[in-house]
Amino acid sequence: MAESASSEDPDLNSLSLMLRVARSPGAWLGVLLISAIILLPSAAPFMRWLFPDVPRPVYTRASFFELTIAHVELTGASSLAAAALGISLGIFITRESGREFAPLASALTATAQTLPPVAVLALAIPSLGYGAAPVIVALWLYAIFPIFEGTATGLRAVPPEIREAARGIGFAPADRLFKIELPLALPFIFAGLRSAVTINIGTAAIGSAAGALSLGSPIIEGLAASNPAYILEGALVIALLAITIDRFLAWLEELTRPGRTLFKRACRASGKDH
Amino acid sequence: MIELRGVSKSFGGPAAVCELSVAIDKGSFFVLAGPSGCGKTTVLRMINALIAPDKGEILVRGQDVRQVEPESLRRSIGYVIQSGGLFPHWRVADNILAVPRLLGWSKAKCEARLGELVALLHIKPALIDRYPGQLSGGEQQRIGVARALAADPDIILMDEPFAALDPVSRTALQDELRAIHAQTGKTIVFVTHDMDEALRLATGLGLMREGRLLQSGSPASLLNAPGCDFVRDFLGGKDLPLRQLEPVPVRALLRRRWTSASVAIPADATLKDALRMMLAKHCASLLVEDENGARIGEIRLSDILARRDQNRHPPKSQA
Repeated sequence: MAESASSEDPDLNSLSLMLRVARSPGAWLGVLLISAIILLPSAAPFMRWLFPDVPRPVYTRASFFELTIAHVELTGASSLAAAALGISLGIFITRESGREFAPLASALTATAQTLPPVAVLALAIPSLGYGAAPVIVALWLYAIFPIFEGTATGLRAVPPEIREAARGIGFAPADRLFKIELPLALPFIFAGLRSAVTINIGTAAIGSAAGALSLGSPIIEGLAASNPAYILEGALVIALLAITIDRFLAWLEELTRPGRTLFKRACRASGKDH
Repeated sequence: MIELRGVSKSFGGPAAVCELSVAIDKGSFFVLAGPSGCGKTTVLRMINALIAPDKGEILVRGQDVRQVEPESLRRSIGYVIQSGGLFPHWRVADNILAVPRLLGWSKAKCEARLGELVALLHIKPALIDRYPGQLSGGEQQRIGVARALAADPDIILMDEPFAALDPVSRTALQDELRAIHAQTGKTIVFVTHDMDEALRLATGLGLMREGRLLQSGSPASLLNAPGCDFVRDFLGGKDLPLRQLEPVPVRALLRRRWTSASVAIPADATLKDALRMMLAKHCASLLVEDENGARIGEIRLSDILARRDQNRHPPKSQA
């Protein structure tokens, strides 16, 4: 009741929203990430103090902004592709027609994740060449498993009586999937997506070994030139990026849960309200 | 309205339903009772084509269910299950209106129907915007019944809908269901293993055991002439004489005469109610009142004891 009263008042609502944002760790992590990207180029005195033996302690070959964008592109493209395959596969093996393929799909996706991305990268370079393509393939293979597992677990976790009720009152198979099962499985799918994306952000650093631009570039270069300052800078931004995006996905997941404000608003907007 | 002809179904093991034939008339409240695992739920689920029979045919409204598209058949039949099966991510209103929306009703029509159902089932208006998880078991089941009634189907299937409820909620929902049945004349097929519930609700009763329909007919006919020991035991065993009083209204033994009795009972109460009241109030006769509270006569203990041919008085559903 109190909740609905506050949502009537726009001023109170935006104030409480601001307070909520200010209280959330995700927002602060985002601020920290942006500050790191902006301030790192001018952090030379600090880095010199940390690493007195290094002649050029700040990575300047590309801007950290540029590196971050490239990094996000690599992980974004591979995660999206992994989500497309993982979610479809999870749906397929929980249908009547695909049930028999469940053990096979589990084994294949698990195997894909156990292949070390470095090895996949090395194997993919001869056919795909240097650059982003082999990196995206390696990350994609690596990320399918958690998304697939999340989807399959979530769809299996839909209580049988709910599926039965939907069937019994006349939902067609597609209605059942999109209106009942997938929305109920969403928290599990998000959990899989979150772990896949977080792992991918960390792993994408090796992409620079295949010549792709990423936040791994300072790390790889630091390793080659024995420059620990470069490694620290790359690792710092990668870590901040990973946690921030993880928090962002967690927030997104919260919003899609039934009973949350945004969910209600979305329902209202889609005309499900009366 | 619903007819099963020689229907059999097995799930690999022994037959879950075996050569079962039964006809359920339009407007009847048919209760299918029997111990757990006797196949009664399977019968119910075959009526709305959730399970396909191995043998035999099932006619709904004169049409073989195999010839109707399953989704449209199911949308035309209300369905309530034990655990409610409400969709946890939908608000109560969305749950209730699930079938009308599948049928593509207009927003205005849905809204009007929601109002009617809230009134019909005495749903607290505050619950409409809640999610099922925020409701008690009794409230959830009430919503489940409202969802089954939403598109105004002429047939409703109920699979032990009140089995998991506390006695107070159960009785309240039974009374309401009986009133709705009397008001709307819908055909209801109700599965239960609870004989008290079966006798409270049924106008037609079928008893199943190990996939077979042992006996069916009016509750009074089963109570007065159980076909075998199993039916007798399931109907109440030693309590059978008491249960036989259940389907008979006080009205059936009414003496239209002036009485000195001071304890009153409504004419629609059952003979069992009358006997209970006589025991409680230590009196051998009761004053009978009609729906408006007017005295219309008396009922005597001696008449209840002397009752012989109970089949003369078919059960009457409560007005």
